[in-house]
Amino acid sequence: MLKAVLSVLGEDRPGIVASVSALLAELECNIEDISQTILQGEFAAIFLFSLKAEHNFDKVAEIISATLKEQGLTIKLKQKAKQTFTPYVSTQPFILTAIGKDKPGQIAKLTQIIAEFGCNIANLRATYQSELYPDKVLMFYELDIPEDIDLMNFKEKIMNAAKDMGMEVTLQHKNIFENIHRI
Amino acid sequence: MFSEKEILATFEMIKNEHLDVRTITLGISIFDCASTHLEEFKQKLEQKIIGYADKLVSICDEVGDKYGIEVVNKRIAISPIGVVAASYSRNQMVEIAKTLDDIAERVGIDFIGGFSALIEKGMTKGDRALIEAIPEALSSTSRVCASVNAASSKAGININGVYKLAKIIKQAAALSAAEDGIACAKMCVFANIPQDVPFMAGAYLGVGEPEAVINVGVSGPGVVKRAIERALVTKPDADLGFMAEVIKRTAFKVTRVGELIGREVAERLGVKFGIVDLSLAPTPNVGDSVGEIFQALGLESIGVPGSTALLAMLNDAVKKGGSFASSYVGGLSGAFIPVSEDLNINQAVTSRCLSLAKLEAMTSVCSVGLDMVAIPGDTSEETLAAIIADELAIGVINNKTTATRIIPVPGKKSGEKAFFGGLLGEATIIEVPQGSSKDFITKGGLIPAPIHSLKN
Repeated sequence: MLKAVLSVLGEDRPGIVASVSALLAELECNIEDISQTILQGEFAAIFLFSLKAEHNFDKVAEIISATLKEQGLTIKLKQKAKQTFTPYVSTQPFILTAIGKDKPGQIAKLTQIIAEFGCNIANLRATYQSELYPDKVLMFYELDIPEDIDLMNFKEKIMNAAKDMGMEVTLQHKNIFENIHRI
Repeated sequence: MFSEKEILATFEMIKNEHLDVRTITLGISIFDCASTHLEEFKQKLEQKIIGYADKLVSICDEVGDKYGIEVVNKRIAISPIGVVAASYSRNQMVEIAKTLDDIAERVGIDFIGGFSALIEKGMTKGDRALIEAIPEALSSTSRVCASVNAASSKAGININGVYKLAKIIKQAAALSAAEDGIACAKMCVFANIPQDVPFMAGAYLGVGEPEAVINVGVSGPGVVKRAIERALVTKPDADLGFMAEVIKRTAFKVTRVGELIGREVAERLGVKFGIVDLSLAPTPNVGDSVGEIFQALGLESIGVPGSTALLAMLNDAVKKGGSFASSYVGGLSGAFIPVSEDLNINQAVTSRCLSLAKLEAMTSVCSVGLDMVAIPGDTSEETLAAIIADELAIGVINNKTTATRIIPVPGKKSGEKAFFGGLLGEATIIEVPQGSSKDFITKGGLIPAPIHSLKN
């Protein structure tokens, strides 16, 4: 089955998801996954949908592009690629929390170490104006850490890098959050 | 995905509120080591304990690292030596203590508990040898902890035993006089001793326990205090019912952490998981104090009127939250009020807000008892025995555990300070009420077991 990925960016307002999904419905496309977020008033969403076998991707893409651009949205549309990256057979879910004064390059440095160790970021959030720490940057990385890496070494590298950038970090297995906050 | 609030709450608990696992205690049965040949017994002890505990410290550290939560103390509790080694003399008991001290050092732990006897109804030959060995054993070793159960709700109070123990405590203090009687800080006298306490100095492995078992002691006074303070910021008019709910929820979280880590350590060690002990255990650090919880809830200091009511509420809320979090709760499970180990409680003694009488009253609604209380060195054996008997009576009548860990500090008077160092902290010596208890204590005998109906 032919699948496509559509990303939509624009100034946030009520009705963006409604108009995008109405358009996809009209084109007989079936939405399988959506992820949507708002960062400081900017709307961003990714739609993963499937097309009917008899549909022509280029034709559908043309209609989607034209319609959404008219609504002032920036879009990117592509066919879903065949998966070439095979996830590690066994990984453990960890959460990396980093808090500190905001400086350029912090995310670059941390993610570089994360990548060096072959850890995959499953989810990432960084915010600059949280309620608890209005003057600091907060980052939460959900990481899939391969079981065969040297966890202590990884932790040490992350800790040292964070310290150099004036950040406090913790790296914890996800189960601790499950246990503390969920019944 | 977890919410920002959930992740930050966890981050705060660890970074700023002293959330940790206070102790993971590996219980090891040593009944199969019993032998009438001392050398053989010592050898078997070594093989068995090191066999189980060799990786205890490294595994606790690994698991602690995985979850980002420190396991502060790793300890071992063994079957009561007074029973296992009943055939040995006093001097041989001292030798056994030294062997245990060596073993503890080799596996890298700070305390090993189980230099213990159960004498609530009377003493066997082995119990007597062990008790008489306590002063030398505890002052010539640094890692061995002793406990003696001298009373129970089913048997009553062994006053002969209590009097003997008071003499032993005085001797132990004298032998460690240079360190303000520190040997006494490693010895507890109990009523209704639990078989699965992970906390020292009372930890031992009871006779009904498995071959090897992991019991966990959680911490969390700092976390509870901050939760109360935060609740009061968001809801300044909150009443005590609301505060009890806040404590309960916090205890739930703290307990879940303990159980998660304890179970993983047990699994990696290949032994059973036993219980979580819900006790709020303070350390001599600011922000990690049970006394500070009293202040957060509005009392000027622990020890002022209202303290018993507050402690009753705190203790009950901790138990409610903890028992929802874990189905296997045991040990002492309550709030600890160890004077020298809690900076804030010791300050309350210094400022005379907290007296021995109030401390004793408070122990009727919380766990442990007169814990790490320094008293004047010239307190008589009979008065010391009477203080212990009073404390044990509270446990016996109320079907709960109580204990004493009292240090008669040689050469020092009330108001002076005793220094024990490390987690044991320092204590202002508390005033002991005047008046003789001698003619009561020297009568000896057993105070009969109490009636278990007509509960008023």
